Amino acid sequence: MKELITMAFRQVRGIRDIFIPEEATPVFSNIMENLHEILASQVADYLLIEGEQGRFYARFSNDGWVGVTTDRDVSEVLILAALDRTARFLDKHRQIKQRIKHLQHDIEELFLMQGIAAAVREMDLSVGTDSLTGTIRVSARGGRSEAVRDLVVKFLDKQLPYFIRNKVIVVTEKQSLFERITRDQLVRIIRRVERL
Amino acid sequence: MMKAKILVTGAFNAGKTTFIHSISEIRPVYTDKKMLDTEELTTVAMDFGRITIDDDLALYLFGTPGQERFDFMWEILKEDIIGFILLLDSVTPEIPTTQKILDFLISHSDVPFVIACTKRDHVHALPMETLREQMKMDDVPVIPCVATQRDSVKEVLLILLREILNRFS
Repeated sequence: MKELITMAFRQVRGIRDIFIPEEATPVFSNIMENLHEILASQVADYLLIEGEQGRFYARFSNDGWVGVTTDRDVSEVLILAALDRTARFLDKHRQIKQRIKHLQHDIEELFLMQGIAAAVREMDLSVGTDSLTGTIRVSARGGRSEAVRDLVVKFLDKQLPYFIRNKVIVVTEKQSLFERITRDQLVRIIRRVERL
Repeated sequence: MMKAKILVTGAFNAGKTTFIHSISEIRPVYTDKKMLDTEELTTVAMDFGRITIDDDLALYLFGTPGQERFDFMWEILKEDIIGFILLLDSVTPEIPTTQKILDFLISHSDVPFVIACTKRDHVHALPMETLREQMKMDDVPVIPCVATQRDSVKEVLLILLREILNRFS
């Protein structure tokens, strides 16, 4: 996660430390949570603590927060802009994590809409700081493997914000007999042939 | 529409085109050409027949070319089949060629299949037992067939379809 935040802060000079809930100590996290409650009652998103030597800024967003310590003379405008951007990144990141849970259904719906005889056999994905990794196994009709793989890759690309790269390996496998025809369809064929 | 595909295959002159013609509800698409030496017709690409089941389901029958020099078509036609029917000429069974086709399909596909011995109405048709022994297939249905007769073709097709159904149980 730190890489993601660093990306948002790369324009700002004088950043000494970046804090996020996952990496902060429990004591620090508890303090931040308490401050968040105070801020919420004031309908504010930012927190600024100033000392003699440095400043501490925190930006709250949904259930998370991100904070930075800087030198005393770093531009507040830049810090706030970078914190805003970070909050957006983290929100997007959270959304992607949620979306991944429904991805199998979404891909199968895509196949259905495009009239492609294919199915997702297995999916094992994880969202990293700046990439989506893992494997999706898709079964498809012979001769359609490449087209189906391209379709899934493009679909994934569209789902991801620009700062999360698609590193998913899409494996296409041939459909098994049971994926080519259902028992019900087979029984219907047999009944029809019997009547010929 | 869901299209279930069955392959009808066999050596040269085993009766694949006739087989499909007997059962297809549409006039089969022939790709037969006269051979230069004998003026006989032979399939050079594939035969194609259809049986419509209902609005969203159809059974397609694809016939492979018999001559070995067109065997590159097997690769294409075997894709996505739910089963295949291997025709064996009862009068002049081309066992090595038939075996070669069978080996190819078994190694590239795991679908059920049956062997139909054609030309059973011919006076010189070899006994079924002889053909069964020559094919050395104990656990596969070997069925007598007259490809010109619809009922006989229908019977072969039904046996294959029931073999496929057995896989589901």
